Amino acid sequence: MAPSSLPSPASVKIQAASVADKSLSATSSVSLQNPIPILQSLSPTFLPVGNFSIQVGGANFVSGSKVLFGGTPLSTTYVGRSQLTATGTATSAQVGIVKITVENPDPGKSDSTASMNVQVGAAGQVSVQVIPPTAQITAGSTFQYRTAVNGAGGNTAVKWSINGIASGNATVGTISAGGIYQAPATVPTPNTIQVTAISLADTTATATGTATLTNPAPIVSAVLPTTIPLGNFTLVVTGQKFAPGAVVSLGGTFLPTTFVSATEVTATGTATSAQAGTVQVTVINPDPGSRTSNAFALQVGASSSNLSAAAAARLLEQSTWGVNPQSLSHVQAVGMQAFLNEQFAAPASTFPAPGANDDMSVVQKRFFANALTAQDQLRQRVAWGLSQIFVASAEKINNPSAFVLWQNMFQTDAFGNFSTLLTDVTLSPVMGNYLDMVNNDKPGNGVDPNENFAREILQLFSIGLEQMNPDGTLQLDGSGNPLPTYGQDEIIGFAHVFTGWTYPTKAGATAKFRNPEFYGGPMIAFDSHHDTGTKLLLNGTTLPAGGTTTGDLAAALQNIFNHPNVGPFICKQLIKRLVTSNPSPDYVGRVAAVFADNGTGVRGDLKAVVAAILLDPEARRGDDPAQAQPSDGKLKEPILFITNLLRSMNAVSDGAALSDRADDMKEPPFFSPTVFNFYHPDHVIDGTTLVGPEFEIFDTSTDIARINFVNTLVYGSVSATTTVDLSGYVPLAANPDQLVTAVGAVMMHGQVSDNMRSTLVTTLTAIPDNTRRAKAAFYLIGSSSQFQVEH
Amino acid sequence: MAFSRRDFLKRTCCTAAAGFAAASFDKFGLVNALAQSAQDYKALVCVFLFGGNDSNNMIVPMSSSAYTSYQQARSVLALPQASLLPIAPPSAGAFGFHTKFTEMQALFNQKHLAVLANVGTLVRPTTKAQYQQRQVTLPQNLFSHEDQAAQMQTGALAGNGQTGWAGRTADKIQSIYGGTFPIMISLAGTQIFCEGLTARAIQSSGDPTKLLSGFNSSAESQSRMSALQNLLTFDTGVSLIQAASTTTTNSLADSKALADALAAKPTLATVFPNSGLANQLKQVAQIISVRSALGLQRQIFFVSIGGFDTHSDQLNAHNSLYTQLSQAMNAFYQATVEIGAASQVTAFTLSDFSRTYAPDSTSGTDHAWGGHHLILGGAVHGGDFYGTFPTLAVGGPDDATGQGRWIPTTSLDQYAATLANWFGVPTADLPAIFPNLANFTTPVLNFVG
Repeated sequence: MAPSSLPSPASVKIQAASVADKSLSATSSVSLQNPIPILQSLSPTFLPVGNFSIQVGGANFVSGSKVLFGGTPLSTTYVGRSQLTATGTATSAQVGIVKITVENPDPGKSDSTASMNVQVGAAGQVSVQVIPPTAQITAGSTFQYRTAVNGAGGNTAVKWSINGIASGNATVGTISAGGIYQAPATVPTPNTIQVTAISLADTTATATGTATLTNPAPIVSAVLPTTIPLGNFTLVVTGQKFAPGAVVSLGGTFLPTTFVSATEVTATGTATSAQAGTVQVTVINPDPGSRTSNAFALQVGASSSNLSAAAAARLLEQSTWGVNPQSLSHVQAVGMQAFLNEQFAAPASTFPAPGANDDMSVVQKRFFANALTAQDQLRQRVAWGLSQIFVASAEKINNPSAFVLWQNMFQTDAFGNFSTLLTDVTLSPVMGNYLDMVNNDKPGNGVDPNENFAREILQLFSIGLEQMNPDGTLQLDGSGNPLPTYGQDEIIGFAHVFTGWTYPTKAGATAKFRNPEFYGGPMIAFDSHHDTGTKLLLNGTTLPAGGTTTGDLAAALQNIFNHPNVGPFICKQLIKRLVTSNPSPDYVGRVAAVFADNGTGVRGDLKAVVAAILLDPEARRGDDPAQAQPSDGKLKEPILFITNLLRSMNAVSDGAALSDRADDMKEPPFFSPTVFNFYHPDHVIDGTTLVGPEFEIFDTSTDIARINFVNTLVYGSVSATTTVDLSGYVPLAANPDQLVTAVGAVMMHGQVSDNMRSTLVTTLTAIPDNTRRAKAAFYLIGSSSQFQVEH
Repeated sequence: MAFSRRDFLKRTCCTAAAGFAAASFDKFGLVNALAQSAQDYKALVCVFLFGGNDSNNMIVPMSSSAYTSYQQARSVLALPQASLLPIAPPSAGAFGFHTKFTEMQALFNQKHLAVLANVGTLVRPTTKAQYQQRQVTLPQNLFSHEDQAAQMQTGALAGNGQTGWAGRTADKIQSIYGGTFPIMISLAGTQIFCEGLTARAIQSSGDPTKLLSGFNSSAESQSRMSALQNLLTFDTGVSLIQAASTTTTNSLADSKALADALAAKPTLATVFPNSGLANQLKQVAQIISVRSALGLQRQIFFVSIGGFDTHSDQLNAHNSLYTQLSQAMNAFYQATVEIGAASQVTAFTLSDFSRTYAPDSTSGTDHAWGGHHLILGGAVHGGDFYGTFPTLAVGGPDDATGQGRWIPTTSLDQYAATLANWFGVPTADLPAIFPNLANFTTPVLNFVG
């Protein structure tokens, strides 16, 4: 085998000797020659007139190889078998295409068979443009510069510099090889920059654009406090893109402003009676490029609008997962009816279909994420409330796909008609499995239909055990005893109606009674398994014999829906979910009347019912503390307690870990222990005669779990993906009384009693650090009974 | 809740030393390591089976003809005869426990476990004819979970009872035995069973010794704790806030007192299985072991296990539930032996109701009425059945509605009054606690004491 480079001399002797007889041998002489070079690549392919350097790639190069430039050998450096570098001079006479070849020297002198071309360009032939030549760029933003390079034989590469600094720097901004300019966070002085591109093909070919840097448009997220009395005040404004020198404007009056960071400024001032009312607060960034932010509505002095801060906050407590400054300001600005209209129109938040490996924790996580951020707050509250009446539990059906469909059903039906909801629940395979209606068979072999769903649809989902007056009070006989709504005979009647239904059929399978467990649609009917006898329903109605599975079902649900108990029974529970545990009979009666007829002759209009519940004078009387009654209010259920705290603390969370904390407090979403929900709607508080459903799960261990949750949220960490932000309150903490007012506005609808305020202020004043003061304020209010019970 | 010094001295059984000295039990003035006689201590432990336990498969007749009838009537739900664990109560003949009741069978044979047959809510003794023609007052809303479970706990059979029979028992006992630490402890959350007029209960649905986190000895921390406690004392004029403050105040004191008392005693050696019921009973046993430190001579506990509402798939459900029940109650009994209080502690079951003898179309049963219950303890006259066993015939003389819903032959009042009487309520005081008791010929039965 020949060596890779020629030996010297270039001829070798090869001897062969016999193994059998070493004395026998012969020799032969071989002359070695250089190989034929192979040319494969050139760089660059464009050479301006003048001196140049070119790199040649290929194979079989040897020391002594020459690059030929239009046949003329160039001064060539052997870099390796596959690479050569050559230098030379291109003259203007050579402008145009020039052939390049490689020549290997003797022995075996030869040229590369193939040749490649370079283009020689005339001076000034290459032109560069910077696009755009002028621009206005805001501080902190990114901007894409482009170039147009012509006359360089397709070589468009450039290198960039800002103000003559290659790739720029932090002061004037940086620019990448691809032309992406990152403006500095602070506008430099002067605020114009030169953006230069230099052609790599011809480094004498350059272009320069100019740009003017300006401050961005500021964005205001929140102003704290949201209400200020007349007199001296401090405002903390949080948001984004604030520039040094930004000024807070209070309804057109510029305030002395301190720049804290791009996300926070503070301002002080004195509010006069001339400024009382709803005033728009904006932030104005200074020149260059001065712009004004969006506005945030601040209540100054006594509100001149129809809605006090307390009223807005109470409505938000009753209709959302918790108050925050943005929502408080918004409701005060638009008023109650407009806010409710927005809520009714807000599209339903959803639960995406779970993945194959997901478990219920994914659904629980989404539940909390929706509660914290989605716009349809009222729809979610009502849906959750309805799911506490029509209970199905993952304790039995631990199936995330099923529960996503189940919860989406409540979201969809929350503002529809109650009869639709009743039908959807009845035909849901989730409920079918939970209360054993699925695969419930007509009588046979001495075995009767299962009575579970028949009992609970009447006792828990529609009419209850006892006849009610329209105001929810019980009708009594002559001896003062309540009157039952149904007996065992009606149970048997309904149990026979609820026969013949099975799971929906999976795609590709054949439908049959006793279909395998599957939740992807409503249950399906099989007349062959439906009881065809007569069936006793409510109010003496009897379904005739021979009914079909679907026909009997529709008739039975209509029979239930039309029972006069439904309005008061359901409305009273919805009031307990949203507003108060002890509504007066008059309150129940007014709402039940809307259930019976929404004003246009429709029975069961849930949207009208919800509006009636929230706008009723009894729901609103606490807006004025003087009108509140001792029995008003309700203990926040654990889930609401958790979301209230998170929303008041500007929390960002993906919902992870929150269900575990709710479980400590005995309300893990979707895992009700029985069909009776986490607590009974009529639970009487021990030692009183008052109803307090949520008190049923308020005991030694859950009580302490709630307070410890506040501790974790304020002083520790609930999870890696939950953060709270109290920064807006820290500057206010310099004045503990002001801090208590600001926190109280969000957490207690502004109604902090004098003695509570006094205790808080004394405790906070003794804490030297403002951040710890803010934390202590949230801890003490968050753990108090005054916060736990909304009223 | 404090009582007078004169009351304290009346209790000649007490050889309490210095009185309420120990600083770690501030709120209650409890005495550490009372040198008190352990003789006059008694505890009742209610084990509530939520959902309505089908005791027809917990206890099954084994004599040949009775078993054959059972098998025919229960069809798909009938337990194989070979699987049953034989017991021989002298008063009732040949019976068998459910196959998973291994420990219960042993306890029955050792005469620590008794069965009270066919007990349920009754206003007065009721025959089938009287039921069907509504000739006597019946308990309200029979076959409704909420109502029957509540009535088994309150003994008030018409309308909403505001107190439990344990609460009323504690009210009465408290005036005899005194004490400031609550007599009643529920480890199954709030239960009306433990609500009395004057006696207070500790109600916990988790670990009752868990304390507040996030506090230390720094001045800021102590000041924050003071503020938290101070806020609890304000009269806000809002009733529900006051109720919440009361609960929180009690919770903080109770958990601290229990934690301190339990910290002073080593953990029991008896091994408990790992189940919800066993965990609760283990807590009960631990608390009983420090009864002297708590200054208590009488205690009532409530624990529970759910899942008995077997409308479908009953056989599988019972395998799991009865295993849990048998193992947990046995471990509890063994723990009372370890504590040296086996004959002073009586555990007993209750449930909403029993279930239909005839199965439904989904291999389960519906709500019924009278059912069999278990009483366990060293003072129990175990190894026998009490009460009157029903005629196990669908449509028979004891069947109220035709699917095998037995009209009880012993009332809840009699069952509970017997327990309360053993516990220390004088016979003359029983009617005040159990209003319907006078309707029954035998107010107190003889399965314990």
